Amino acid sequence: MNNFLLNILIISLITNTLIGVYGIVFKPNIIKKIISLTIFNDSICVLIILHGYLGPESIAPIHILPFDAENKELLLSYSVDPLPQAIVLTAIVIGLAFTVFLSITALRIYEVSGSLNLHYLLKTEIVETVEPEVEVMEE
Amino acid sequence: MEIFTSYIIGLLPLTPVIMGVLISLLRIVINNRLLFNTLYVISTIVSLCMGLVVFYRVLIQGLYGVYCLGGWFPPIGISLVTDKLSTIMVLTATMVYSIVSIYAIWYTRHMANYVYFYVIALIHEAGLLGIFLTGDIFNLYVFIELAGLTAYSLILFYHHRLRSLLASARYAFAGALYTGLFLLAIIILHATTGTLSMAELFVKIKSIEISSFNTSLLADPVYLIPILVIGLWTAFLISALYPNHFWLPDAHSEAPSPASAILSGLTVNAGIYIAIRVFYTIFYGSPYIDSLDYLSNIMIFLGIINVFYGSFKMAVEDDVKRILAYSTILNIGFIYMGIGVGTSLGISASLLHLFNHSIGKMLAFLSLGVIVRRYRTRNIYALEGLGRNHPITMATLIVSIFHLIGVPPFGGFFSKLLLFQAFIDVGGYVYALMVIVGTALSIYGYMRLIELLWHHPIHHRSVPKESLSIIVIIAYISSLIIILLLGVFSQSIIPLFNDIGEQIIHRSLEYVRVFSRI
Repeated sequence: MNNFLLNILIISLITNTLIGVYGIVFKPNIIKKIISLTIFNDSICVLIILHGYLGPESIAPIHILPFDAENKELLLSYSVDPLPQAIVLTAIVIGLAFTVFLSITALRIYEVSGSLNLHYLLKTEIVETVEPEVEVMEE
Repeated sequence: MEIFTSYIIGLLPLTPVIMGVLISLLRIVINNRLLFNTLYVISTIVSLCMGLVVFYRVLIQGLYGVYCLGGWFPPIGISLVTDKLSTIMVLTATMVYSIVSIYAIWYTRHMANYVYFYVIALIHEAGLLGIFLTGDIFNLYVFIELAGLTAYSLILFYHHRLRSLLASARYAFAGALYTGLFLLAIIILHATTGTLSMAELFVKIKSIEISSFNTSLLADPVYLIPILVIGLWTAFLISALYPNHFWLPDAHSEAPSPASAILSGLTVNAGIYIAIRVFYTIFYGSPYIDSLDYLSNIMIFLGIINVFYGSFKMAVEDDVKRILAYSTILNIGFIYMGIGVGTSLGISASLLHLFNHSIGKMLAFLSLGVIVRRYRTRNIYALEGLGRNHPITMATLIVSIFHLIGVPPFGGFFSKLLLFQAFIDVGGYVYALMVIVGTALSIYGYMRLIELLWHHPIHHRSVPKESLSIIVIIAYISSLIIILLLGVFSQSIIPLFNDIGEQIIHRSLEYVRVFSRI
């Protein structure tokens, strides 16, 4: 039963990842692209957590019992791998940085052009009102 | 084979971060332009000095440098390793950065938000140096994201221009997608081999007993193939190889000129470094993957497409900075052709070309930046004949472009000669011909730029001649000296690069022995 549920979880996560890729590539709206990117990143993070997970009877990798050979074997066979969790922490922080950066970019694009349709904006010929390399004077 | 352990290796990526944070914190209390300029230049010059020390110890004395972060020895902890490949990359990066930082003082002299440029550029340098030094593949991912996010921020530095916002957004979405897949590949790699340290990956992938190390479902060598492909594909995006080149012309032309010099000269190097590391250090010679020859042929093929695409687009482009951006695509093509040959001569040729391209492209962007900044247009027909008002700048532009084409007194000639020789050695006469044809096609695009800038204008324009700042002249002279030295002393430089190629192909096991010696 547990295995069945785990398989469903893995399949749905992979589907989620693919939906994220589809959204990033094909959705024209920048906000929808950002949402797809978040879905994509978070599905990958859960997949990584799942890689370190051993099953419902697994424990944290901390030894409370006296540390002899038998308990060591027990700990090694039941404890969760801590490395994927450390990786996921870093990946979440980086994903946050990406989301903040892209949101601010989307805000600026909306302020400058009045549109959030990235595909439309990329296709149209843009006539810049501001000169390139313009000097911003001292405050 | 000897190793040395030094704090210098650990401080290389750390110095720019510390100085960047220091500058941004000091900006809250004081607004003194001289102080920030001094801090910015000093931090890049200190990085250059450390890069030269590492260069002396590794490339001249032939040592290996290791620094274990936090005192944790590999494979448990993360370590920074300098072999010859990473040393030459670090030297290129610190050299280009110190020249660009001097120029950036002049460039940002009227800007109100110049501090942000300094801080972002310094953190970008830290990301690049981290990519070149790290010996752990997940740490590599973190540094890719660090360098990537700062690169996107540098591109939209003029954030009131729609074009730079769009260029940055497109690059950022592509980068986020590819690096997300790279993270997935890293975790499959961990599931397959049970390690993330590059040296241990090297041992496990090239030995026969992968599955004896862990009991994971994915402990099967079959899963190594998607990892290799995704890793290389990410590297291709960062270095703009053909199907992934779409972001480069917009991004490199919309950035401020010093940022264009950094992005065009250095950030693409990171992708090439990752490709060489993943392809040669980790996977080359593995008993599980027998299709590596196909991959190197694909690299040569995509490189040729890049060369032709770049040279044709250069000939029809009207934007002066986009011409140089397409020239970057062209030169990346040559570098990937050298990587795909698979002999030590090919690797050394492509690394020498990478070094030449970094210096030449940086000087070209810096000189064009002076002209573009003065007339505030990038259209080549609006700038027609205006180069005559800038004799010194035009002279440096012409020298850098001759360097990029490969006219004999300058260094660019010898790297293309070496590439030609590498193809002749393995019997690839068609590819060797492609090097010559690609160079010949590119000459039209470069010459059109010089000719239109120098061409006598129909209407007389009463613009006073340039009065160059001493800062710009220092930047010009230092990069001109490097270009001339690369040409004059090429006979003593080429053996150094041959050593690098030799180490990557034939003595790659030393990379692992470093770890057993600590």
